[in-house]
Amino acid sequence: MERQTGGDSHVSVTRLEDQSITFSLKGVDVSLANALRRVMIADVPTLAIDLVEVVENSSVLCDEFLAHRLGLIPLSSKKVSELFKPYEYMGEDDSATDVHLELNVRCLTEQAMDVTSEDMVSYDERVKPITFQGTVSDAAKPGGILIVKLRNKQQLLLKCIARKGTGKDHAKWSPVATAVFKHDPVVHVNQELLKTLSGSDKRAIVESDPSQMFKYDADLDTISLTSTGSCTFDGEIVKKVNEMGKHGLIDIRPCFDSFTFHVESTGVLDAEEIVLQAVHILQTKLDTVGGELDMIESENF
Amino acid sequence: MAPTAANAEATFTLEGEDHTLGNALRYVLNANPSVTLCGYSAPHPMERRVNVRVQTHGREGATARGAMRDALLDVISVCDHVHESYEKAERAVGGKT
Repeated sequence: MERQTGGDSHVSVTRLEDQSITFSLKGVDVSLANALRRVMIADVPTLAIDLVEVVENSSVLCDEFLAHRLGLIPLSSKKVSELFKPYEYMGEDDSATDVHLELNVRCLTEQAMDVTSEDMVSYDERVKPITFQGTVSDAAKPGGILIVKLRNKQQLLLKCIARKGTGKDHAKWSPVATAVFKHDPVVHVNQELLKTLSGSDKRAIVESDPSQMFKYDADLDTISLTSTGSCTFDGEIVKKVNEMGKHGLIDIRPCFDSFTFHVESTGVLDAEEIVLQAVHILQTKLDTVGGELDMIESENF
Repeated sequence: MAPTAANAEATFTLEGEDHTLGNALRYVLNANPSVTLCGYSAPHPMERRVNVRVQTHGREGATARGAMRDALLDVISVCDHVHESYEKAERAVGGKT
């Protein structure tokens, strides 16, 4: 029996930052890679504002408009493992499901003022709106997320409750901005056929590739693969080669059990943590089904 | 879950699950030689439920439940392995840049 036990699967991390990770996953089927991707998007729990009590709102935006905007603000979710989802908790203790935040601002200046996520006050140290940190190269200024602008004497007093949820409840709970994988390419160059080409033809082939995977070495009069990471399977280089009448000189096709994942966090959790949790959640799902199977069997025998 | 036929074949309804699990299980079940047919469907996009149909040849004590159990254990072990090698790879990279 051909059993896939993952014995030959392999992971290597190419790039690791707080909020993004690039890693390659080899030796598993697409269905598993896709399951992992889907779990990262829709099943990893985070915190987001779920209920807003509007005490005072004299801004130009209506109450539900503000409530929606507040819901979309990413909140640091390290605490999420200690909380319960509201529909999974039967107890009386609200602190097991709720984290309170408040937005209380009044514009006292003649000039319009910006209300941002930085004006929010959290009653829990570890649950705070994520603010854009900014980097040297970024044109955008670091700071909070703009919620609304207030004119003189306009006021907001909103009491918010953040709760645990997952991306399948609402996209605001999704911890990832990007969670994608692509097939790694298998590139085959027919060296014999390559020798029949002139230097300028070789250069033309290298330049025809929008994903710039090859480079031309003038000294050795040969082309070599530089990196496959940028491959988009656009087929341009193959088209170019065919135009030259050199069918089969270069062949690029997707490898069906080797993937490159790229995961970017919204900032609520570290990217590496999201991947780790996704694997764990997938296993829990399978365990649950296994448990149900046990129950059926014990009923029937 | 409710298997609707005798031992060799069954339809499993996974409540609260979607393509995430359905497709992964379908693949692993199809890789099992005693499984003659396996497919899954999500009957309606708004209902969180998938039906997984499993038919085995029924020889050598092959049962649909057994095949399903094997499939679950297989995917769990793949996950275990990915988990392990992910942590290893993470350590190999040695911290964030």
